[in-house]
Amino acid sequence: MRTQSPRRRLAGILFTLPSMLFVGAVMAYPLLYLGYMALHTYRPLTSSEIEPAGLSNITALFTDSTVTNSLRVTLQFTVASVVIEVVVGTACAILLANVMLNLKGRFGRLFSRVVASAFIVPFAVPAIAGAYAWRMMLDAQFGPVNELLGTSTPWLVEHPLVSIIVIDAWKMMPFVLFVMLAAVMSIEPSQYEAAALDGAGSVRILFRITLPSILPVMLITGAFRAVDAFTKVFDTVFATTGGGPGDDTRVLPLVIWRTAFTHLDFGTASAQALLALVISLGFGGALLIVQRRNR
Amino acid sequence: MRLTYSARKRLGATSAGVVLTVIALVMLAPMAWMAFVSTKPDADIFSRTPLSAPEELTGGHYANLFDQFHFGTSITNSLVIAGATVVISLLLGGPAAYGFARYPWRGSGVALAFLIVARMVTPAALVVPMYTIMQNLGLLNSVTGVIVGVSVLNLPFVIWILKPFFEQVPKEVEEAAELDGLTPGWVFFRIVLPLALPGIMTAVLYSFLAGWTDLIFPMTFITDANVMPLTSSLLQMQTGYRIYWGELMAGGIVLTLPPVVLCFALQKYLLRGLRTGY
Repeated sequence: MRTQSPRRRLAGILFTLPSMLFVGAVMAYPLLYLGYMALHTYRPLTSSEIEPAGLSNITALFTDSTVTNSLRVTLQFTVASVVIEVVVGTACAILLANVMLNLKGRFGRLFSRVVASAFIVPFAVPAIAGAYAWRMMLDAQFGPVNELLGTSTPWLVEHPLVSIIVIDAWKMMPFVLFVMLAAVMSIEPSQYEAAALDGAGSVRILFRITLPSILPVMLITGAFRAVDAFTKVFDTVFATTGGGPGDDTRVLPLVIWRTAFTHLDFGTASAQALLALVISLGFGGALLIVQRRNR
Repeated sequence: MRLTYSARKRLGATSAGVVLTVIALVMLAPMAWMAFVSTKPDADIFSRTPLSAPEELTGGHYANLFDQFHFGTSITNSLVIAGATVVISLLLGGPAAYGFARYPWRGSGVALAFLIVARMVTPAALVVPMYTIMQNLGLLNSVTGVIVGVSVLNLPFVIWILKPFFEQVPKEVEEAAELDGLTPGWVFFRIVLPLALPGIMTAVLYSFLAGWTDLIFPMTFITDANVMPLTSSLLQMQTGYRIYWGELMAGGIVLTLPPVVLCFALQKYLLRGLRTGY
């Protein structure tokens, strides 16, 4: 190994410094300011003064039913959508790998390319556009879903959380699919052949070879998806249910945004944001440490 | 009846293909629905049989986008935001990823960990203090605030994507160039960047998507319709009185087409980014 000369150390710092400064100025400073705001009252509608509030905004979090409700809703949303995405995504990946490995020839290749392209679309559609399209599709009177089912259910009113979960699963399942496809395709074909020679049926091959080899990737993908789903669920809910009916789909990011920009209560919003940060950074940080240990 | 091994395999693959076709159609349905509704006259949009074909198609909703909803400027604003996000993310993230990959210094591991954790910051949590800061700086109602916000959330991701690409560049190439007297900076620009081009393409694609699709920053920072990008312009079509569904779906198509075309064209890089980036 080469020794770390001062010149190389300087180069390392110079390469990374601009990024560190940018993130420091544009992320760290606002987050410190967020901490400051959480300890103050600032309601520009009633007064332009920023007044010290001690820990009252923080302690209020634990008794505020808006917050406790949003934690429950966000958790339900996260768990359900990630489980659906991982299960369906993995299943589709195994099916697609099966097609790619066993349907050779021009048709087989064309087929798997077309299917793969179709799965890219939800991933490429901006969340806000996808959300509005789904909102129309699920409409009670002029939505095609109800026409197909012969019903007239206002899905977003009667099953709001389920609808949001379906929309998120539609958008993010392909992501899991492509990650899992890479994992499935990296299994040595000789393993399948050996098992088949031993007389193992496809169900046995699935549980003895395929699933055990991809399980670690499944878990880590699911865990990262969970952090992502918990922290970034906003556009879809904002454009479809707006958090309603009642509090049914008031996820945490939406509560923070509404407290700040609809109710103009920046102190309370900052305390809520701090809570969201603690949860996502705590979970995300733990995840990174676990991942590093297992490497 | 007993089937041979290869016949069984082909049968299995064919049924897998049928299942996949059905799911793939569900995946395409929302975009197809957007396209369909965007060309229907209003009377047919609000019909009890929404799936039946309208008697005539109309381009009127698309025309309204530009006449009533200032989509011309919105497209420009979206391009500016996405373009600037690409430039900032790569200009800062490229060297940083290379530095982390090749010139580790004491504490660079911690710095990298911080950058990765920064990816997990809730945008809604960042937007609250940034709003007040942008207000004090006089940067509300300008694309600058949006660009800064989107870039800072995207930068860690770009570094994370690029680092493995730089690690794959053979060290010998760089060492030879250094022996020829090139400084580390020149080695990076002249030797490493061209070799890591697939990584750069991947980072460009994801940065463009981040800038083009972001909603929360523009909807918070921008109230002036002339400064809005496409994403927050869409919200304008939902007023307290009515929703302009035809225009909304047409606008959805305008917003959706560029990323879909780009993802198709750069499919190879998109998939590579999925595997290394997440």
